[in-house]
Amino acid sequence: MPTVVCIELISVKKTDADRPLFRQIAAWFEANGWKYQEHLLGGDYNFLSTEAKRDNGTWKLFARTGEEVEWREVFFWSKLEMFVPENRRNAVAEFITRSNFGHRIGFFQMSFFDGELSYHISFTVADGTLADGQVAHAVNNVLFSIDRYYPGLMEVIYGGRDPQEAWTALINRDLA
Amino acid sequence: MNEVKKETSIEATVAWPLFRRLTEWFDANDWKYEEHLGEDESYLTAGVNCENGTWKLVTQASEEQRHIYFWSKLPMFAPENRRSAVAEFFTRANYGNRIGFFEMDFGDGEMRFNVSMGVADGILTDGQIDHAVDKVLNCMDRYFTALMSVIYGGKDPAEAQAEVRGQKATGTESDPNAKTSHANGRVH
Repeated sequence: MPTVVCIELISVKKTDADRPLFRQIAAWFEANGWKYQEHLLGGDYNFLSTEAKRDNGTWKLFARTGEEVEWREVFFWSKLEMFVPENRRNAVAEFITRSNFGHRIGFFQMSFFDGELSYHISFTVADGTLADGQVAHAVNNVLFSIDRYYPGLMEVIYGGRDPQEAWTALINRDLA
Repeated sequence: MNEVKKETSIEATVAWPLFRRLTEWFDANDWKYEEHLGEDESYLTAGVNCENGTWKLVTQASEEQRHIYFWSKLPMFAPENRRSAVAEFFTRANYGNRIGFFEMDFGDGEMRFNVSMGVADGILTDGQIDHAVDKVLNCMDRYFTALMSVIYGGKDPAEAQAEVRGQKATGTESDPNAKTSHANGRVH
């Protein structure tokens, strides 16, 4: 039994030491008073999850780090709960393509396989350091974007609205 | 003369610190490029030979927002009647892409692959620039043939995408986000 405890302690210590980016993002959530959960699946599969309320809903936010790859990377994303029905995936592809264009930071992804829909911001840390301002920027922008485009997406998916019309209406609302 | 040059360089570094980091990287790696200076946003362009073509690389720095952007834009526009197919192809290509994404302007059919980064209060490093340049050029090069088959060959986007993925499975690349090699520095 004591041996098992010992292995666990070593394992936890090793995880922390090997994953400075992951720990830094967790520290940012703590420092900013966010409630979050750590999902320790092992190595680069570890991720953090939290949620935040915005104008159009409460959105889940996830963060993950790639620290076992040549270029160290960080990933932030928000995934919608629903899956896009098969018969609306092409319409959503048009909507998110319109939305992604000119979006300088971040982009929508959809799986044509199951209709999973998410918004991502990811970047390479490589030989640099991850700044708190970069974490704040990514977290805020992921949440802002998923919230901003959500009504238009729902109109396309469940209202049968033409993607061009929905996108134009959304942009016009923003400009008004 | 050297003093004047140095002064100009210091002034430029103060005025455009992110942009100057980019030009330093291009100079250090002996790339030929053209620079375009603006008050807030400055950019530089270079042409790079890759396996399937010579791609234009644009890098831009927004000093006020502390953002940097790298993209490669194709010279042709997707014809109106193929834009939906290209949207599906790009959506399939973007899914699971860890860094960067394809984008298309539905208005005119402009297509590009884009990698960007909010530098915020951080420091832009050579390794970060290396990776962004590599990613942009290799993604554009890797998907180009399949994209053309969708636009001009009327190929089904799902089929074209499966072929790109299939190339990986057969050994030319084993990871959708793997680093591939381009003719680094073969610039025009």
